[in-house]
Amino acid sequence: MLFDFATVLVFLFVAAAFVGGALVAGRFVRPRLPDPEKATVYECGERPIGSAWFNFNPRFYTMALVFIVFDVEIALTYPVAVVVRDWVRDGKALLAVVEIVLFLAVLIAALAYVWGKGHLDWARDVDGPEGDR
Amino acid sequence: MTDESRDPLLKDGAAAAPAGDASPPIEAVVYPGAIATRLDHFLNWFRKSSIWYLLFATACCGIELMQTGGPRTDLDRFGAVFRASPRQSDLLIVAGTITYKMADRVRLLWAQMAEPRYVIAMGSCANSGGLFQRSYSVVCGVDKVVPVDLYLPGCPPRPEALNEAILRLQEKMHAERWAAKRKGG
Amino acid sequence: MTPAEIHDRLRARFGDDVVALHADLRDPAIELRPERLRDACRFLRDDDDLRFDFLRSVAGVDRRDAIEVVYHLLSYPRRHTVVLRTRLDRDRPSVPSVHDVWPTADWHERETFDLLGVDFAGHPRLRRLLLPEDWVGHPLRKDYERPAEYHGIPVGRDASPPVARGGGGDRPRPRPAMHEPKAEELAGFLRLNMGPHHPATHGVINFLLETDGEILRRAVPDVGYLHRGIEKLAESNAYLGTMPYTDRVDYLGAIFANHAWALAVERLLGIEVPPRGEYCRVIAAELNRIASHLIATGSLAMDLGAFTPFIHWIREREKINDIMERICGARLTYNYLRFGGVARDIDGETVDMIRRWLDHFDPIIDEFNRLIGENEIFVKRLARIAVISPEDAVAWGLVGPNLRASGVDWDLRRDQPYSVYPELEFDVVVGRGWRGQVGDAYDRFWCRMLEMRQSVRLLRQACEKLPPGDFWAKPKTVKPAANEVYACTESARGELGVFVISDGTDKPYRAKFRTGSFTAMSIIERLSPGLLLADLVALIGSLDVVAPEVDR
Repeated sequence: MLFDFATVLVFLFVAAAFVGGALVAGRFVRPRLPDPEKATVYECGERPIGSAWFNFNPRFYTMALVFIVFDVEIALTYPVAVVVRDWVRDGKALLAVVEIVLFLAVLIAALAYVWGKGHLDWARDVDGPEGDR
Repeated sequence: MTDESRDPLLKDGAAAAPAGDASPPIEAVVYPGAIATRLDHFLNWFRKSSIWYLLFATACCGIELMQTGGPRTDLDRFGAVFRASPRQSDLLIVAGTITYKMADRVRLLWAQMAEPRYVIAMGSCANSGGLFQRSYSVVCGVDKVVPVDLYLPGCPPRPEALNEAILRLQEKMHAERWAAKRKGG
Repeated sequence: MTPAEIHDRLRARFGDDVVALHADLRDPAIELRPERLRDACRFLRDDDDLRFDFLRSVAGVDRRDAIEVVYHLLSYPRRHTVVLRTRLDRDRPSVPSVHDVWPTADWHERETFDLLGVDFAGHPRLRRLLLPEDWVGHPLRKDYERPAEYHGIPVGRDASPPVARGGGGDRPRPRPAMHEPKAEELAGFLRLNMGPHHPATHGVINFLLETDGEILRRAVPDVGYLHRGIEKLAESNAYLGTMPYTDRVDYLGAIFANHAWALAVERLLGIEVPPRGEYCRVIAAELNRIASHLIATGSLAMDLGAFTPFIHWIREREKINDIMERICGARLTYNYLRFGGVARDIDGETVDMIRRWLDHFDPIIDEFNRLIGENEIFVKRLARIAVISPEDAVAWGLVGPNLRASGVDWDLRRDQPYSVYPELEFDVVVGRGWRGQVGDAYDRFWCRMLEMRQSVRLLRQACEKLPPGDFWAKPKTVKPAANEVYACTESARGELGVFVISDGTDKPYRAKFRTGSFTAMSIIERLSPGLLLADLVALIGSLDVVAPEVDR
């Protein structure tokens, strides 16, 4: 099995060499003419208005967090299907079911809370200039 | 590579390229002759076979630009695809009339393209103001704002003409020398 | 009601504030005092017999001794028109704004302010529309002089040849003062520029977006990036010399602009077009309508992410280009119409070519619908998005398919007929909320698809009925006597109107173009709050806005 990991290591080296080689070759082939105007932000030909560092609505963060949590949940649930066969053979099937149900139940409770509180609605409190959507 | 010394808006009015010379490269790396020429051919072949142009159209020439990218006169077969961002483009085809309001933006778009970059002035309006020369709000030729490599006449030019312009640009790119020493030093 | 009757009605109500009725004009005009203009307009809109609900155009005219503002009104329910005008002091022209009577006046008045310097008292945000904010002067004034340079770029044709000629050693040219960002302070909202260089804005149009993430608070169109001064150029060209410029007023619907110009001048000259010429005009117009709708529907699909249907339509458009090239020699900017007819005949071979193409095109429309028109994702992107009520559509001056999709049954070809449309049979496509609501983006898209079918029908009839005879009754001279006329055609984007003032010379005194995209652009700010960015793209695409119509 250790030899399989060696394959991965070789893969990593080749990938790094590929990318590195392309970048190095480019460094010698391409022109290098830094220019302050060239370094300006592209915004459809106009100069950007103000700064992009300002208060974003926290719903981006909330959504991302909720997604990560449930993504990890799925990632952790999959291996159970592989492992549970050994448990069933040892006669501990009921224990396996109870464990996984408890795991999911905790997360479903979290989902119910998030859903009920409205954190899954993308646009909750948006005001147009007239004060309503 | 567009001869940047012909940039019409350079602050200190750069000296012109001597007549008859292909645009001298900005950076000339010197290698022995035989290798250098082959290297140049090799690099130029890559570059001219994959000219990504900026999707930039102001007026009627833009429609013909779209038609040229269409199935009949397919620019894609030359490796030329359109890109929406100047960061990813090699070629700026100025298709349409440039007004004073737009001139600043064209200049900025061109400046945001990475070298090597080229400009084709497509159509009469981009060449010289076209039929709007006497108007108060039209720049008489985009070469007052950006340096131009190829002037393509027409109002609007037929797709075949734009096709020819791309081919001429390919010839121009083929003649560029990066690795070979400049003749005459 | 005739203009005389309307004049009497106004006089009864406003007495001496109604200064005169200029009955000798081709389109008689009622002159009012500027102070009472807004009240008169409100009366014209609200009175039951008058019901002028559509402000077609606002044209400022520099009469050398005064500045005049001319209003063209139309009533959809009563089907009559009227022309109002008012004279203003040339040094300080000021008239009350009528934006609260007709919201569409907002942009019309901004344009008149921009190009003539007229102050509209009470306008919510009177500032330049077509020229840059820091432009000096009002170009449509007769005594306007161009500045020597703008932002370091010399103005004018003979000014400084480009360095690129290999000349070199010219005086060093300063770097143009780069456009400074428009500064405003508000926390929490992202201010973005969408355009002018943007694939989805259908030309060089800028939108200043205020967004909360991807939900818009406001989208303000910033236009004028393609303002080429066509109206001013028309004043220094002979009448026929402006015909190629009308191609550029709307390059996707060049025949319609040609037609409006030809109609206006023919009415000024009092000449008729022979039947064959009229049929040639209709054939060219309907081909152009199809070609324009191909781009409109195709680019709408492309903006929403579906690239293939657009390429299919480009392929079909090439075939139409071939036909138009046979007819008039050009693929895009046709310059086909002349005063009294058309420039070249449509011969039998061309008619056969058109017939063959029509047979080919009918099933292609079905193919397109299977590909994208009935595609569930496409429908979901458009249905119930940006619904425009019929009252809003009329009040904001929408015309053409945009207006009909909102449920208003009005088509100039049937309701103010011109050319030989009365002899041809076609249906007017009115929005029915096919997949969502009446007046949503899908309706506007589907209206164009159905209109293409109607155009095919019209083309078949026109090819059938093409009479023999002369196609161009050329007038001896084009020097109309002093008069004023408004003529309009039903373009692919709606009413394309031309208001011409002639003064007895061979050049017009004033030419004003009224276009459908101009007013369609103005409604976007009103509809934008609460839209997602993606819906804004769908809205712009479904309104079929083209930059040259907005900016001229």
